[in-house]
Amino acid sequence: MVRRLGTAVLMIFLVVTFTFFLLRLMPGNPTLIEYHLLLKQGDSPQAALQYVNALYGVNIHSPLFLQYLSYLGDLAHGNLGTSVLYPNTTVLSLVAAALPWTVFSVGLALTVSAIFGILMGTVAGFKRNGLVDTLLTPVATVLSGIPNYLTGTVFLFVFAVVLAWLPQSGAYGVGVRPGFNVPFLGSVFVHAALPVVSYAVTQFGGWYLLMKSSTASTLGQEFIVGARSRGLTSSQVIYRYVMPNSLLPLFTNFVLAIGFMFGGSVFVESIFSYPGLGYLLNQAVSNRDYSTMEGLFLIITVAVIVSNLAADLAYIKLDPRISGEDVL
Amino acid sequence: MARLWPVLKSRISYLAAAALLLMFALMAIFGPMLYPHGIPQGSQFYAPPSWRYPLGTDYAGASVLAEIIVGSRYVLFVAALAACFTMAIGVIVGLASGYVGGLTDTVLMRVTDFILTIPTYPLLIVIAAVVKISGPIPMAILLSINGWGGMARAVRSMVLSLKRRDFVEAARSLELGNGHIVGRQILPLIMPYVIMHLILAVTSSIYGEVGLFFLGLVPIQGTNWGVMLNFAFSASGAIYVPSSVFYLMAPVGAIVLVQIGSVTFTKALDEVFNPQISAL
Repeated sequence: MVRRLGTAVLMIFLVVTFTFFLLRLMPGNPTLIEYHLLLKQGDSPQAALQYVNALYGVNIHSPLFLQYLSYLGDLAHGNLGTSVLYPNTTVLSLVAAALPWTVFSVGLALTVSAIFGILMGTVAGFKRNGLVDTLLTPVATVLSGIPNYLTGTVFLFVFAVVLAWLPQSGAYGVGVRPGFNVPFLGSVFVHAALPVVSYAVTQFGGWYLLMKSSTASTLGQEFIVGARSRGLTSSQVIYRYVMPNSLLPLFTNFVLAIGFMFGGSVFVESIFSYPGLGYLLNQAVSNRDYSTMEGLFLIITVAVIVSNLAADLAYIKLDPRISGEDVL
Repeated sequence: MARLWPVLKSRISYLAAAALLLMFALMAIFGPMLYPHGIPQGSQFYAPPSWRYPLGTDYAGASVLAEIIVGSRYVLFVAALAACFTMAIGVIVGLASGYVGGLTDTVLMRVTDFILTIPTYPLLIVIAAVVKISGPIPMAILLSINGWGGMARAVRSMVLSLKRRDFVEAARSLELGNGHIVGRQILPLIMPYVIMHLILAVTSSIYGEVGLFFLGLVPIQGTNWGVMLNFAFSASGAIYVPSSVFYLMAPVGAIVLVQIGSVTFTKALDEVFNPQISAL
């Protein structure tokens, strides 16, 4: 347990280091490019240096190692720097404003797709070559591999442009006042509908296929044969014996999916201009807002590492057959 | 290879998938030669399909089908290259880790875990934003940068179990040398798995590649499917015009067709390499 925790902390440290040096050692070092650009434009070295310093929080003439130490020090105080794109705004506050939207839309999509996928997958696994299996398995196989920016594009075009049933962008309407009131909440759900469905449709296939194979392999086990031979009905066998056991291996996937959907949100949120972490990352990158980009990448990666850790730890609690030693 | 044909023949879907992939490959190789004078231009914007323009025209009156065909070369070439890089790194790391073991194994697997943990798209986006990516080879390297982790783990576990088989022990007692054992005894048994996953790696490379072009994060040179999607959203605003349906759906359809073809063909290969599985 302690070792697993140590690995996670080490990984976070490595990611921090990696991000730091990525931005400063790469051939296209943006701070140096900016500096030389300003010099060419006729700025004095002093002014150019000051500007770059303010823009990136980096003093390009100080040794790299000292820069790295001061970066680590800032991070330890929760200081991710200030945004270039939105002056006078800290990266942390930008992230704090974007995070709820991503958590809401990604979480809703994950829940919906997992519930549908698991229910349908159980049916398909229980009745091999039945109606659900024959119809859904090919569909799920294709869906599970399609990137969510394609489903997002198709949904935006069909439902927001051609049919104009749902809004094209944003997280809530212009006229509504944010707060705990019915028009606002309604607007939030209407605006989230297309992004959520775009994620959910691509995720569904994966859940369905996983649950189908998990159910099929649980069915072959002796305790299921035993339960059946005691004269239990099919539904009793499914709910009390098959589902709990075949859901167990999916739990890890669920927690991992949380982390990875944060990363996958870049495309869908950009398509629908949905103001979450992914949209912010895209904005930061296209506007060369390096401090925001760095902070966001760090936060997304840390979210993935933490959810990996949570998955491993929770699994030990959930499945008594696995001891802590097996996972670590 | 001799066993491939009977399996393909056994199901119409396998044959269709093979034909589909073959068609895309031919399109990428010979397609651009069909249009020596550039992409045909009409005078009507977003024209519906016609004999002259089978998939209609785009926001500037250019033939959509021609754009898809010409664009396929860059997309598929880079994706295939990236898939080869991914597989090569994965196999080498997996072989080294599983066969050598010890400290090498620990270090390589730690690196692999690290790579597997970093979310793919944000990593690609951040690197593409910092490094100027130009040309197919840097693009392919970027796309393979964190796809090899799963392959390395799978190869490692296969090597670990193969290492203890009798024929490897026998080769070792004959002092045939590590190069011979890895190259002649172990690698051939891993190859079927590698080939199957090579095709799937091509599709996942296509996603990353088209995605980067889609967001406009790599310099645009000529046309390709990702650039078409990018233009639909930004420059031309085609996404907000209902009549642009063919222009918009053409790259989506092309990518989905490659995906369906790859998944189905991989299933056929699975039957060829593991005949006992298909009985289930």
